[in-house]
Amino acid sequence: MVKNRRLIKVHIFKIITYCILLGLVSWFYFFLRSHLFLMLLILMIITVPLSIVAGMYLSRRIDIDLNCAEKDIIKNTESYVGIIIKNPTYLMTMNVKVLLEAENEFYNSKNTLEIALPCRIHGNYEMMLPVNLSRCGIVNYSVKKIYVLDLVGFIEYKKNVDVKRSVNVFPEAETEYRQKAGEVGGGKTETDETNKKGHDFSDVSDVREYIPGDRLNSIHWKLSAKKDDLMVKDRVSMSDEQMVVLVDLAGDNEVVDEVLSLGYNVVDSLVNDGIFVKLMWWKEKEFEFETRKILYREDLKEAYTDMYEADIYESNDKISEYISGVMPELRAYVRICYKEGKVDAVVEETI
Amino acid sequence: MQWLKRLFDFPQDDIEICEGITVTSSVYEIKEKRLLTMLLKGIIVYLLSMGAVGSYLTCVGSECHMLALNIVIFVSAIICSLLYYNVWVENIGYIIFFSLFAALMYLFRDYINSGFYSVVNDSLESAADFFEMRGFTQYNEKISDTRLAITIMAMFVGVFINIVLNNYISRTMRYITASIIIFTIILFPLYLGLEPSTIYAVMLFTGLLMSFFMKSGQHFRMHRNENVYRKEKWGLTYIKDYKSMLQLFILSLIIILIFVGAMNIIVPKKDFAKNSQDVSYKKKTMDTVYNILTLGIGGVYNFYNNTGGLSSGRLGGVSTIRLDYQTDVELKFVPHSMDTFYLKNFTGYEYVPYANKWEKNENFEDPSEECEQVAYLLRGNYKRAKKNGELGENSSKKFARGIAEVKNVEGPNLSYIPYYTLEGATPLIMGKTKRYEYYPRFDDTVTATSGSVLVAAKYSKVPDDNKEAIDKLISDSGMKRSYTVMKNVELLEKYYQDNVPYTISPGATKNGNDFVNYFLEVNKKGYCAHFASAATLAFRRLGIYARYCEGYAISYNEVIDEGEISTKNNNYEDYYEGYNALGKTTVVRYEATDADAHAWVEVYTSAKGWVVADVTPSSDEEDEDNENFWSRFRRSLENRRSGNTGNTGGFKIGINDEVMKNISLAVMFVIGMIIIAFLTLRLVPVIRYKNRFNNASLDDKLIMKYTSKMRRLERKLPELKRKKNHDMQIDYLRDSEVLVASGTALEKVKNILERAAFSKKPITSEEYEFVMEILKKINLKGRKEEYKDKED
Repeated sequence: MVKNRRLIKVHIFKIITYCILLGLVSWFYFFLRSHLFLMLLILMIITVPLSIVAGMYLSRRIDIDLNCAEKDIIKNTESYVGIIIKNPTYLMTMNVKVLLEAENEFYNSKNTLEIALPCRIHGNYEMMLPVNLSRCGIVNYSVKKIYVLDLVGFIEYKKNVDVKRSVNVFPEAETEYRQKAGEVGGGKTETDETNKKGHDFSDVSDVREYIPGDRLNSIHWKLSAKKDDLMVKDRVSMSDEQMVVLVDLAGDNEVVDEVLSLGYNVVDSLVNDGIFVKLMWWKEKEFEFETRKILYREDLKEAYTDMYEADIYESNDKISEYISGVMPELRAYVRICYKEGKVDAVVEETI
Repeated sequence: MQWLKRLFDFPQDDIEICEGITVTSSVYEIKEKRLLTMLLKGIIVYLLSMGAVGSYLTCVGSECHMLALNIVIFVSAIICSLLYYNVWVENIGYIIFFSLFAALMYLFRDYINSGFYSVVNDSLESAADFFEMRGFTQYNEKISDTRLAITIMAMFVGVFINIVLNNYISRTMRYITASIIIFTIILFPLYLGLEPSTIYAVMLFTGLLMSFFMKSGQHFRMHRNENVYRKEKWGLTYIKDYKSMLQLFILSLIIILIFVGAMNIIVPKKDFAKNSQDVSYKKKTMDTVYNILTLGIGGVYNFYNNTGGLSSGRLGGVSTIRLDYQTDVELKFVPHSMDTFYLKNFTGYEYVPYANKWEKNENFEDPSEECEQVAYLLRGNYKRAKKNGELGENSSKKFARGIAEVKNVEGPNLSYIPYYTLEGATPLIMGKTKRYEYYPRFDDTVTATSGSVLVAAKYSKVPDDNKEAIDKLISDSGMKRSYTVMKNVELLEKYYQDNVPYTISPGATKNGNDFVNYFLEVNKKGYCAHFASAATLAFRRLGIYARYCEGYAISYNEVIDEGEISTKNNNYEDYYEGYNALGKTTVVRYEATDADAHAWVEVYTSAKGWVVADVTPSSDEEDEDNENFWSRFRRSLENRRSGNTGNTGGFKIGINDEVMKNISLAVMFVIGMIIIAFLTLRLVPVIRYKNRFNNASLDDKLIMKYTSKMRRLERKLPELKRKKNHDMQIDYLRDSEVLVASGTALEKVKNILERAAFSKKPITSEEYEFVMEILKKINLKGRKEEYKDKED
């Protein structure tokens, strides 16, 4: 937690009103010489500095935390961001303004939401903010500053904080899109394998001892039981028995989001069907393709997480040329793109 | 349409933070029971309304059943608050509530009426004490049980205040409006210098502080749903959190208890009241306030500066004298004649017409000193007679000396001078006692002095505005210049007796009229102040020096009927010596009430000097008989009624100031103990550490210092916690540029620390100092950017 310099915001109107009231009470006291009014006058006088000092101290000790229960969120499902105000002191205030910044890095959209919450004595106040994330990407929630109002409402203490949480938003499963996978996967060359989910269809080139980091799916259980040691299957590179899928990040935000959804569903479906996928996308800034081997769903999520760091570009008709240049041996690939007024998965032959 | 939305609390929409990120409307489904916050708001209303009602009643001393009153006001405050539960409950509930309220008011109208007048009478009594006047209108109380009547009336008033305050507090927390309402209610007793019981001051301040904090905190509005959050233009806000509100309430209460307790110790109420009597600009308003009290709102337009009954020369607007029969002055003396025993506390010098007041002789010597001249002579006679052994109850030399012991119980702070004394007209403060040495005059052997006539001549002015009425009085009564002073006195006395009735309810002098003229020409009835004022002017008109006097007149009959023999520690000889027209009587204690307050005239005769000329006709004369003092006293004792009337018994619940002070002290004590415990818990480890440190070897000291330093740093550098040994720690501090030192120095530090921790060979003091010097170079501000806020 970085604590930089704090600033204050003074509510002049409230102070003026209070001073007028104080003047009135003073007048009544000097006129009536009443013990009750004397007490009221003194109470009004001492309340202000006490409140200001208490507010100052509270603003120093108060703490903010964010809490995202899930790291990976499916698009258009309700997720929660927990905003927690922690107060270790025995002071309180009725108004803490938290400036919650939400940002989707992929689409470069960013804004701040002001949330007013109470601060209880020596305890936490937690607000679970329900959020619907309707775009894929990496969503960052952060709080950079809060405002703590003292009890009399004269001074708002600004406190700089630095709390950040990120979540990855992945496309939701859509039947229509998954059907596309079936359509594009039809022309592929397949080996004879069972259709069990997660079963790796690629040929085994070698069996070796387990090294930490190997996938559990690759463990050769029978052999491991025999040898009394963990053994894993080393697989043949499936460069000529894989599906190459290119996700084209061209277009506006809505189009690209749909492209991502389609791409995700297609690849996920292919992977589910036991087809090895090479996922590619064009990185405009670096002027190169990014490639990921997708064997499992986790690989897909990881790939998409990396994809979210790429930039959207307007359009690039030369993608096909670039692919041919990079992968000359490739005869055809699946391109997820926006074409003729709709997002589609198109099988394109290389030039 | 925002106001409409707010009124009916329409469902609210999603909040789009930015593209693709939306706070869903399910945020409005986070609920909290409204009843809880409504209850707390109801408690604020209760504190304010009970604070106001209780303050007023305790200020004016009206007794009632406080517990029942508190319960009713509390319950009604909660009900009023809960009426805002929803639109239907509010609309139908209010109708039912008001209908019930009206029906109960009708049922209890007699009690309410009686209770109201009872409180008004108490207030006017307090006002009478404040203004040091004895005449105020008394309202008839139908119900004899005033306690019950006041309780019922206060309940209705409290419920009404609840309804009004609830509207301001529950909806919009308008503490300023609430304060105006409350302080308007209690302004009058505060003006009279009265203070409420501490418990009600605590209630008032707690309610005000709570509502002020709520308003300042900006989350006080009433909403008709149970949503915790609400969308505003600027963002999202919480609209209710009863735990915070409850904590705020407890905090406010503790603050007020401590504050009030401290204030009552530093500036106690009683001491404060003593020092707050003299307020110059308040005095300027007193006349107007007094007029309002006696004449109603029309009194605002009254031209009188002063109105009142008897005290300090103010006359005018009294409609009816209300006698409370409470003891004003306690007198201990020896009755020595059948003449009335006067205690004078005011001598009027000049009558101011239309202002309706007698003014004192400010510019000249104190007129009471006039009596000193006669007193000197009487004293001289007494001393001579004593020297010659001629003193005695039955002596032919009618000289004597008496001691009048006067105690001001609840009377005005004025002098109480008997005839004839050498004591000055020094005011006798309430609660104090003074012994006046006086010399009774039994015959006319003592004459006026030549010097005294010069002073007497100043008491001759008759205002032009009164001459016509006075001349008519003189003419009607048959007085003449040519007659002697005493003959004129006699004629006037007879005229009054035959033609002008005495009454304690003469009606107030009308607006714009002069007091004396109105009495003589229009009203033609009055009490002693009327008769004495007119008589004084009439005598002056005839060239007789006369002055208006006020004080207490204790008749012989009253002494016999109401006096008590007081011989315990009171010897006759201590109080009287010399001639006694009644023979050897005894020391009598008499409690003079406002019924004994009187106004009379002193006239100056060349033969006798200043003598009392009491021309006020009697309303109910008793025949004087010749029975001696002792027989009459005994008879009076047999006839005297015994016992007191008044409200006795009843279950009285109240928390007096002493209890409140104790509660405040207890709260302060508890808070103090908590603070001490907290400090102890913080300080004890420090002390133990210091102790261990002092007893440790150099090696251990170094390790302790180093460990302590690292612990402090870990709070600012969370990453440091992961470093498990001093090597890693120092490397981290170096890499993050928090600790800037040469590589050699740092290696040396590591080495020394290692030896200190693990080696049997102790380190030297130079090595210790070296490490400490290096550690002093740790500077958090210098750390690298990437080493800031490292989190997982």
